[in-house]
Amino acid sequence: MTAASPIERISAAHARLAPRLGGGAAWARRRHAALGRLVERGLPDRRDENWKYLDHARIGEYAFDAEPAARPAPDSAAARLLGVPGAHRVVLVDGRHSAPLSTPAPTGLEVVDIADLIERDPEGANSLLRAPGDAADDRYALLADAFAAGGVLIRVAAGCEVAEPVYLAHVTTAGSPAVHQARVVVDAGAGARLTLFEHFVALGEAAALGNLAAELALGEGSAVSHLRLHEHGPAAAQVETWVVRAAAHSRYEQHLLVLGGRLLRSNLDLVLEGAHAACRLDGLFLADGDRQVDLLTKVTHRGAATETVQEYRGVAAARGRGAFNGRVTVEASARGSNASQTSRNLLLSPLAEINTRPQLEINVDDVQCRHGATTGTLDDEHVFYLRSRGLDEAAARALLTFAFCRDLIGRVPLAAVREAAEALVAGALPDRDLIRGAV
Amino acid sequence: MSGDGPLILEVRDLVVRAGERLILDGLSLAVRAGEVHAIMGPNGSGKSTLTGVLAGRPGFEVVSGSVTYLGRDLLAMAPELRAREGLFLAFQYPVEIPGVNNVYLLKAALNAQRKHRGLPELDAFEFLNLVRAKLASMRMDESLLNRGVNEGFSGGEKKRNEIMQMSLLEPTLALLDETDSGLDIDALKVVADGVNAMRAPGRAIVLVTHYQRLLDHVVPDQVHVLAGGRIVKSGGRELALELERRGYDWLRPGTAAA
Amino acid sequence: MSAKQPELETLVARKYRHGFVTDIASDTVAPGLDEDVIRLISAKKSEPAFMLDWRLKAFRRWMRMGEPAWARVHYPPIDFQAISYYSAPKRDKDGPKSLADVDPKLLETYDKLGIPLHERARLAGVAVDAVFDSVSVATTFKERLAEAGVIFCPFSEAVQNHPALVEKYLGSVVPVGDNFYAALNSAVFTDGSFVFVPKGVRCPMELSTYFRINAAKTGQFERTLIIAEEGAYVSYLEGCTAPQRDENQLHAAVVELVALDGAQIKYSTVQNWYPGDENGVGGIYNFVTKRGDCRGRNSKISWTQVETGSAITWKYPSCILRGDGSVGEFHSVALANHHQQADTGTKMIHMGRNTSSTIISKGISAGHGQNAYRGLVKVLPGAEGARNHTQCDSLLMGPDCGAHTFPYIEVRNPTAVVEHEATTSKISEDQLFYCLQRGISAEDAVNMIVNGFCREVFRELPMEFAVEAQNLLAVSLEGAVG
Repeated sequence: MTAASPIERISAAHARLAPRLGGGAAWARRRHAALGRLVERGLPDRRDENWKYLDHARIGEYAFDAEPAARPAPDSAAARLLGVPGAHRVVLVDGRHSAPLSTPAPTGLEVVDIADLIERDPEGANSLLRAPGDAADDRYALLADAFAAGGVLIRVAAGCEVAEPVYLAHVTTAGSPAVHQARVVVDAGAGARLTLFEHFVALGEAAALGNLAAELALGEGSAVSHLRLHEHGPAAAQVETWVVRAAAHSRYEQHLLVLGGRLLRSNLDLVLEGAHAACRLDGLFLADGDRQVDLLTKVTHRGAATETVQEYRGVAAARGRGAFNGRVTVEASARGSNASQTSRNLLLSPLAEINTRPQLEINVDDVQCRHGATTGTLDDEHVFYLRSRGLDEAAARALLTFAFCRDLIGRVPLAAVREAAEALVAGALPDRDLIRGAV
Repeated sequence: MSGDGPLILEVRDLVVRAGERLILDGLSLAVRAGEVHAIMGPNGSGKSTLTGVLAGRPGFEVVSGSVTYLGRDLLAMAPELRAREGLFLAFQYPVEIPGVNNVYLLKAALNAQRKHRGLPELDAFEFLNLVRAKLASMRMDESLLNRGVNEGFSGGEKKRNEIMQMSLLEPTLALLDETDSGLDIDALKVVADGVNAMRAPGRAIVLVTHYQRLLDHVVPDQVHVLAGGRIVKSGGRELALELERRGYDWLRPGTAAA
Repeated sequence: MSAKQPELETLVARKYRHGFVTDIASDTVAPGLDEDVIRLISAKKSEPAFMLDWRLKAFRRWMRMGEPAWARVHYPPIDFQAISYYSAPKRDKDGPKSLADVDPKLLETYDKLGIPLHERARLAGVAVDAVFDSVSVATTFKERLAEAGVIFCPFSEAVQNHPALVEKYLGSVVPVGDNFYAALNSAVFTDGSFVFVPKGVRCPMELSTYFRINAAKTGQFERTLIIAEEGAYVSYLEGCTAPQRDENQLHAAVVELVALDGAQIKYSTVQNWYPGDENGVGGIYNFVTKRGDCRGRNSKISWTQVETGSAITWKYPSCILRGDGSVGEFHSVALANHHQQADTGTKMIHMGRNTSSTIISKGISAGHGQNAYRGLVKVLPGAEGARNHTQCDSLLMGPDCGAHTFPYIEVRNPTAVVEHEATTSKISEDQLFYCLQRGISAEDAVNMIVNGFCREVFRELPMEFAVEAQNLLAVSLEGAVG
């Protein structure tokens, strides 16, 4: 039996579902147009340069034509969430905002259910949500737009420093195969401060694909610390498209931890628009079992004297596959900019695979840019040193792998997230008891 | 000159190659309990190869000869097994291992040894007290415990850290590979005191060094000169002083005096 | 610091030194390409049947292929039917017997280009196989090479005299359908160089060919094939320079290298095709396929290139590290000034065990020049113990140029160690000021700094080429700093 292509299944699902989605004529038009463009151009495939390492067939296995109806989250959902002291919780269940699981927002922090907004103010919602372009890298965002119905808007008022973190949980209930679309919009006003912790968890074991289209705007002088922990179940997959725009003197910091799921494709398109905007991107992935992780970061320096530091690390073990594709573009206007990027990768098994593409595109001379990428195995000297102190080889290797990961985990600013990440890494390695002792 | 303690290490006619190069060429050495041996030699004579082969460092090929440690075939043992059986190597260049906590390494090493010997593991409290005492004796700051192994340590701190690990693990055979190199006189004194404190009837210590200045502080029972991959001369402490005076050239293979 | 600016700004862009047109009547085939043209080329070269079949196979593949669009270069569409695919200098039926028989005008051309065929070639001990348009006209030192058993001759001659070798190796590294330009070359190439170094022979001299483009609207399609048998060694030098033209000219060469067990091939290039004028008018389009196959154990292929010319450079000299213990090297200096565009780099394909490769790329961008490094390091599952180290550095001069780095690193063996490093920065103000303060002119200071930046690569060139390369870089950069 030849299965219908994802696009055919998407079209079929759209024909069934679109009439039931809210927002009146304006949104019907928008969704229809997005679908039209998507059908015309197709989902990205291996011929698209930034998608050549992704296993498109694996994505194609997901149930694009299933009913993506949100289930009421069972009470057990709360048990899967991390205890983050003091956090304001915002929970999306299968892409839809769940008021019962969320906690009230404090002054200065506005949390809006996008489904409500689309119903209440279709035009306002239409101008608020970014309309994705046609480029291959934006094609999954276009898919989300074609089904746009829910999600959450998080707005921090200008000058407001939100003292406690906002905990944004993406919960997949997945009792049966499904594809969920979600939207997240984060708006940090001028001078605002926000720590946003995103957590991806699955309650069920069923094969669910989450597709998130998200955007973040940093106002002048604002600072956002963005923690992202992927802890999906072994059958779940996630595709995400983040568009981040940073105004002058703003600071954006991201800590990406990919420690679960069957497949993750993460697109980050970040533009440092204003002068002196700065960002720091940390990313860690553990591709073990048969997990596939494919990260794309595109950082554009537009403002003068902008700065980026990127540090990505990947571990590929068993049949895991990891890809890191990081492009830094410095536009002619970005004089005095600095960019550095490192990608360090451990390849631990003969069936695992690491692909890296660190790229620099520099269009002005007054810059300092560098990148480095290494792929290799553990350092023999390190292994020998530990063995000479009495650790057996497997333990030495596990410990060194853990240490490789822990360097990045150690910089995550919330202790609860750090501890969860360390436990996930240790849990994936042999000699976990021994390693847990190292924490 | 040879003492009458039980034999701890016996190296016989050891021939070792690294890649195409022959480095040890028929080296023999016997070390008994309670003794301190110094192995001296010019650069490139094979000193670090000897300690490396004894500790099980990969990259060397033993072509012929044997090494017996406490009556067992040392070369057949994995590096970690040698460690658990009481062989300790203080590295000439201790590696930095970012991310692996120093205190954790100590605990894992000590407990691996205790488990191997059928002893209960130390609890956190006992362990920390023990480590603190050792740190103090090596005049090391406690903050070093929570840094990565050797990470950002100065040369002297790394060497002191090696001796501190040695005193914690209480080996039967300690091999110190150029532990004195790169130390200022104060640090040398601290290291020497650490080594002297380890002298015991049941323990053997092998110091590998280029200069004799460590031997002013740690008086050896025997001194051996390693040149061209074998021991070309052995003697007492006075041999070290003679080497200091005359250099190594007169002992090179092919020279009449050898 | 401000004192240097006006001085630097007054430095004027340097004009192409080698610009002229030699007036020689050409035997040129009408523009256009179809199977008849290919049959005509093959017939004019009196080729055996296997060559015609091979060309036609390439042509049929080419007809189904599209021009590659992935490189970071921009140019108006090329009308492949407007190009003439064959031209040869008119000459007596049997061709020149010695230098005395060569058209004096041709020799004069070489003199202007600083290629002294009859004197310096002998003094320098360099055998020169000069390609003028598409047909080789003179070859020296043949006897000395023949004594050693080395075959070094124009490709067309090799087809006549050594058809078995040609048939065995031609297309064995770059198959006819490898890429658009290689397919085109395979279909229409008229000449080039052939080198065969037999087992155990160390080629007694550096081999060198000077390529040039002459006749108007004449694409040039060189074909080079170098075979080093077991334990053989050869160093091959290729230098290019071209007359000034207003119209773009296409150059699509193919170079294939084969190294058997323990063989070593060193291939050096100084490329100085006409780059177009200060406004980006004219200049050569250089679309080259160069690939070496380390077929034998412990074989080694080194590519060294200094690319200062051409309006567009599209070139990725590569190594297939098939034999266990084989070694690949790529050392490159690429300069893009004015409106030049360079998209160059390498591919290192690790297949054998304990294979190693080194990539050193130095890109210099000035004016509106755009310089891209594009490279692939691929470690296949069987390549136990593979090693690669890559260093890509870019130097930017001026606010309007660009430097880009696009590496692909694909590793499928856990015992491999692959390291890639890249830096991009402008010429250091501190270094410049230091030199100026010591009384060195801005121009000299820039040359010094740039030459220092490229030293690792120049070191790989044979001595006389290294000097030439430094001079070339200096004149190519005049007026680049403002």
